[in-house]
Amino acid sequence: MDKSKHIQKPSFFIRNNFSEEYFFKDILVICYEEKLLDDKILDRISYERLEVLKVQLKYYTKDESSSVMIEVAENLMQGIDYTIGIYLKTFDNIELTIAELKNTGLFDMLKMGHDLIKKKTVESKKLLDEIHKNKLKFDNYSYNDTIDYGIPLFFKEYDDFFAANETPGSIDYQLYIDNMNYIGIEYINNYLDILSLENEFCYNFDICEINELLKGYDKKCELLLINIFELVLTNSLGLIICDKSLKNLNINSIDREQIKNKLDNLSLEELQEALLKYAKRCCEILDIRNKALVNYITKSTLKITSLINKSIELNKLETVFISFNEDNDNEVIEYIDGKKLSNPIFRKLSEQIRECSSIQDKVALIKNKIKSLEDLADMLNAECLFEDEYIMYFKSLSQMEIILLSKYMSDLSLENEYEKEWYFEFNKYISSLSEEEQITIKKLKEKIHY
Amino acid sequence: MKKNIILFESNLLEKQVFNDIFKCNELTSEYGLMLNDEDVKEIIKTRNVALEKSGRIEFNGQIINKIITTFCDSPYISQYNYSDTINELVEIFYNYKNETLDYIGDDELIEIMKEYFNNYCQGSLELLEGKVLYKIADNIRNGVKDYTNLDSEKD
Repeated sequence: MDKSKHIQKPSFFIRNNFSEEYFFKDILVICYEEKLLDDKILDRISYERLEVLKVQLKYYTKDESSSVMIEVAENLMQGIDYTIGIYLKTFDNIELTIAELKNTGLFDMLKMGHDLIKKKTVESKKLLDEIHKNKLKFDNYSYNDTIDYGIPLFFKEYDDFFAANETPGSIDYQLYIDNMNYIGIEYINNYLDILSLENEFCYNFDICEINELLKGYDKKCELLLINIFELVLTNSLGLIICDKSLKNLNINSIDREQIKNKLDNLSLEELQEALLKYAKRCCEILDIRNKALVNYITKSTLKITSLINKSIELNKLETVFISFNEDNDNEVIEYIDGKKLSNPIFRKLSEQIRECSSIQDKVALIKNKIKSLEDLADMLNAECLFEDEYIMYFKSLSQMEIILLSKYMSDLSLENEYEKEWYFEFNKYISSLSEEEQITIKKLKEKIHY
Repeated sequence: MKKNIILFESNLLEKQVFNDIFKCNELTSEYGLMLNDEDVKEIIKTRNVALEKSGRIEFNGQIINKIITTFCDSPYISQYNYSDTINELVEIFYNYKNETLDYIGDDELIEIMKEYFNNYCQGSLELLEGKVLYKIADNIRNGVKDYTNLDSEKD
């Protein structure tokens, strides 16, 4: 008999066999089937599980009701299983997990799971703050909305005590490789981790280049549910294949010919190998040392391989390796202003904004309620924001919104006026931007027509 | 194995509920009200059916006791209609836990039922269920603050 079989772990030991969502139940089922847990232990766990549920139900009903709808009890039970699962996931191997199940009560496990969830929530909030602070100025609504509103909504609505397994919030921006098996705080935690890796990769490029690349992908790229990292990584690989600098992300038709010539005759395995080599080279050129990011780039390259392979087969490389739009110099951007609010509604809104205690609430109110540039200017004139709040508000705007405000100011020749605080703060904000961004703003401003 | 992870095991709980209800006889005998084994079994059966019908789950068996001890001094209950009335009240209770969207707690709902049963309805269970509780549930669904007011208009 082959000796290696003795030291090989049986298949049920492999962590992948347990779902992320029903980890606790899966452990119980598989361990029972494999006779690692006997009836006695399982009965004790089942009994304790119901006792835990009873206590949670008491809290849930504030001890005012002795019965609940079955759905409510089931949802609470899912929350309990999830919380205990989070705790059990901290054990590296099945033996330790089983020992824990045998020796520790479910009430204790629930408590420790809950503490872990709270810790993860704090960590995720911190991560979101970081991402928010260093948000890239992409012209893509789903990216901006997810970071500005979708994920903060999760933290606002997440109930770690009764419904830790639920994932409120609204996440529209798609990651290139997302693990949809996670739920609750684990999903958000994983999402934010990956989003920050994708951002970290994109920081290596000039933002104007990325925005040009997005425009090249589709003129209405701001409306699309696309993954920006994927486009940037693919074009980076293309540029490396052509031995070109990564400073300019454009890939022209001659480059594509060159890419095709280099990759055309490779089998899928060879193509994968070659692309992984280019991905490694990409990390070297960009001096990427973060191991997590290097791993993510490798995984992403494996995913891109089949896409590139297909595009070579169909001779449609232009759909994968994107060219910038060349004829956009004469392009005119038409801006149609949103509906202006009536005076009483505007007055009420400005009062509401003034009454907000945090700038985040103010920004959210402005963004949700004000749909017209004129109203926005009126609001800025109405002393709803103070001092640093202006800069924080301007930071929350997309590049296009900044350009529109800037256009509004220059149309009214207010650029050099400092009569109102916001003119001053806006000019200060514009001068704090990089030179390239200022040039882009200036260029695009001229193309806007009301 | 999965059968072991069902939500509730009811055997133990039911035995305890039976004993608890039976013990109520000590109190209700003062009012000339007694339940025999068959009555208690019937009431528990009513409770189980009512819970199933209303899609609810109970995690302690105190409701029947609470209903019995609250209603036993009602002038409209005598040994003649005692068991039937309790059965009906139990059914009404669970039905209106749902209809009132769990907005009011057990004790409050039982108190409301008793108050209207003894006064406004003068012992009529039809009136209690079909008019009083129907209106109260309607008030709650419509966000009426003074939901026990039967003459209230929608806010």
